[in-house]
Amino acid sequence: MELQQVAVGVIAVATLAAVMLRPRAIPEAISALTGGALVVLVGAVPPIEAVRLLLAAWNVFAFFLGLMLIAAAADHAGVFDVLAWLAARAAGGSRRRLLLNLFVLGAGLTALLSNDATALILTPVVYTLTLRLGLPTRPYAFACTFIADTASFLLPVSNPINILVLERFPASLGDYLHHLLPAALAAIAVNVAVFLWLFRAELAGGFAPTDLPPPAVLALAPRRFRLTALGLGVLAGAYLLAAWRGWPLGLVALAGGAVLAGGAVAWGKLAARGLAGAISWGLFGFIAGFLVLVQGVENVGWSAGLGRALAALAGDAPLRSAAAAVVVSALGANLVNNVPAALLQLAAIDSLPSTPVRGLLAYGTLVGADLGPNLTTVGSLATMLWLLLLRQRGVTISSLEYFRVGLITTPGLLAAATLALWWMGR
Amino acid sequence: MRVLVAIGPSGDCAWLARLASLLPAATTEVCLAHVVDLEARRDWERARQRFIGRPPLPPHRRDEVEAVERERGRAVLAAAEAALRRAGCSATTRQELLTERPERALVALATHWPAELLALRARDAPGHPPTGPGSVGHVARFVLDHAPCPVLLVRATGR
Repeated sequence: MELQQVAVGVIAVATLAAVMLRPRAIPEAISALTGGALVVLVGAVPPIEAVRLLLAAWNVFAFFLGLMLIAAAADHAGVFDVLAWLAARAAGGSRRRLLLNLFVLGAGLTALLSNDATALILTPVVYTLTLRLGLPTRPYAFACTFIADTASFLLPVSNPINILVLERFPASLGDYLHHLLPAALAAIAVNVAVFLWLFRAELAGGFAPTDLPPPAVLALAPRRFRLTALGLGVLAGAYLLAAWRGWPLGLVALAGGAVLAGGAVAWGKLAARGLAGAISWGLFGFIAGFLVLVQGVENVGWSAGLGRALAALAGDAPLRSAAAAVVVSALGANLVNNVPAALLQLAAIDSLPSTPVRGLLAYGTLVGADLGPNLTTVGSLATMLWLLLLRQRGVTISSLEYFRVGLITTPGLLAAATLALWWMGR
Repeated sequence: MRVLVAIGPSGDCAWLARLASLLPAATTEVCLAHVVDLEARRDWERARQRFIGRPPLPPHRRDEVEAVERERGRAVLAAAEAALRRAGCSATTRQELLTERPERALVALATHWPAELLALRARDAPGHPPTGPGSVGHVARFVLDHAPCPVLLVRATGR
C-alpha cells in the first residue's frame, strides 16, 4: 500500500469523524474543507483537477442557492402560513384529517421546494398552528419533519442529494419517475399508516377550526402573497419542463430564486441582510470539501475497494442489490451525514464494472440517503448517543421520543421503498 | 389555605369541577399555574441541526412562536379560572404563566409562593388508562416526589 493511499485513508476517516463528533464545535464545513485541502496537499488530487471538479459542480451549487432563496421568499410572503391554514380548514375539525392534510401539504412542498423547506419552515408554522388550535403539537411536528424526508425522492428537485446522485448517474425524468415515484408513494403510505396508529390517542377527537384566524399576510400583503404563490406555480412548471428536457435544474432554481427573492428585496419587503441570513452558507463549503475529498479517495483506489465490498454485499439478485444499497446508504446517513455517505457510495458504485444492477444500486443509494435521516431525526447517531448519555446522567431529553418514533417508522419506510424500487427495476 | 392548581396544555377543564368539590373549605386563595413546556419546541429545533450550516429560526418566526405559546397559555388559564368559578369556587384566584420544564417550575412555584396544597391531574394527555400503570404522567410523578407540600392528585375517573 502506497504512502499516499494511507494518507488519504487517514484524512477521510478523520474528516468523517470530525463531522460526526464536531470536536470543539468545529463547523462541519470547516472539517470538510480541511479534508478536501489535505487530499490536495498530499497530491491525491492535483489542484487543477480540484478546481475543475468544483467548477463542474456549478449545477449543484446553483441548485442549493436557488432553493434557499426560493424558500426564504416563500416563507416571507406567508405562503407556508396560508397553506397550513387551508390544510386546517379543510380538515373539518378532525385531528386525523388534519394530520393527513399536513402529510399531503408536506409532500407537495417537499416535492417542489425540497426537504429543507418542509423541515425547517413548515414545522414551526405547523407548531404555532396546532398551539392556536389547542391540539397536541408533537404528532403534527413529527409529521412535518418525517414527511420532509419520506417525500424527498418524489421528484429530482425534492432533495439536493438527488441532484448530487443525478450528476453522477444521469437519468431522464421518465426513468427517474419510473423507478422512484412508486417507491416514494409506498414510503409515504407507510409513513401515514404508522403515524395514524402511533399517535391514535392524540388524534382521537376533533378541534374547532373556527378558533383559527386567517394568517395576517392575507390582510396585510395579499398582493405579495398572490404574486409569490403565482411565481411558485410557474417555477413548478419550469422544474418539470427542465427535468423533462434535461436542462440543468440549478439554472431553473437560481433563476426562480433570483426573481422571487430579488423581487421581495426590490419591493422593500425583505431586507437583503435578512435574506442573506436565511442562506446556509456553510453547506457550500461542506459539499465542496467532500467533492474534493471523495475525488481523492477515488484517485488512490479506495473507492474500488469500497465498490468491491458493496458488490459482495449486493450480489447479482436485484432485490438484494436494492436492499444493500438502501441499507448501507441509510446507515451511512445516520452515522455521519447523508451527503458524504452518498458521495462515497456513488464513487464506490462508479468503480464497479458494468453490471445489470448498477442503476438499482444508484437509485438505492438515493433512497437510503433521503429516507435514512428519519431514523435519528435530531442529527446523526453521534447526537443520539450524546442524548442517551445525558439521559443516563438523569437529564430528561424528550428528543429521545424522536428516536423512538424513528426506530418504529423508518424500517418500514426503507422496506416499502426497497420493495417498490425492486419491483419497478425488475 | 393557599392552593396551587397545575393546569396542563390540553385545555380540558372538566376535571376542575371535580377539583372544586374536593378543595378544603378553608381555601382562601387559588393560584392557577400553566407552564409552557419548551421541550416540545426544542424537539423540532434540534431537528434543524442536521441541516448543515442552517441559521437559527428567523427572528420573525421565533417572535411568532413565543407569542403564540404565551397566547395559548393565557387562554388555557382563563378557561380554567372560568371553569372553577362555574363549579362554585369562591376563593381569590390568581394566574401564573411560566415557561420551562413544567414539573420543575411547579415545584419551584409551590416552594416560593408558598403553597399549602398542590392540586393537579394525574395525566393531561389523552389515550392513557384512568388507573394502573401509565395513568400518572411524568409531570405528576415528579411533583408527587418533590413537592414541598401535600399533593392532591385528581384522576380522570374522578376518584
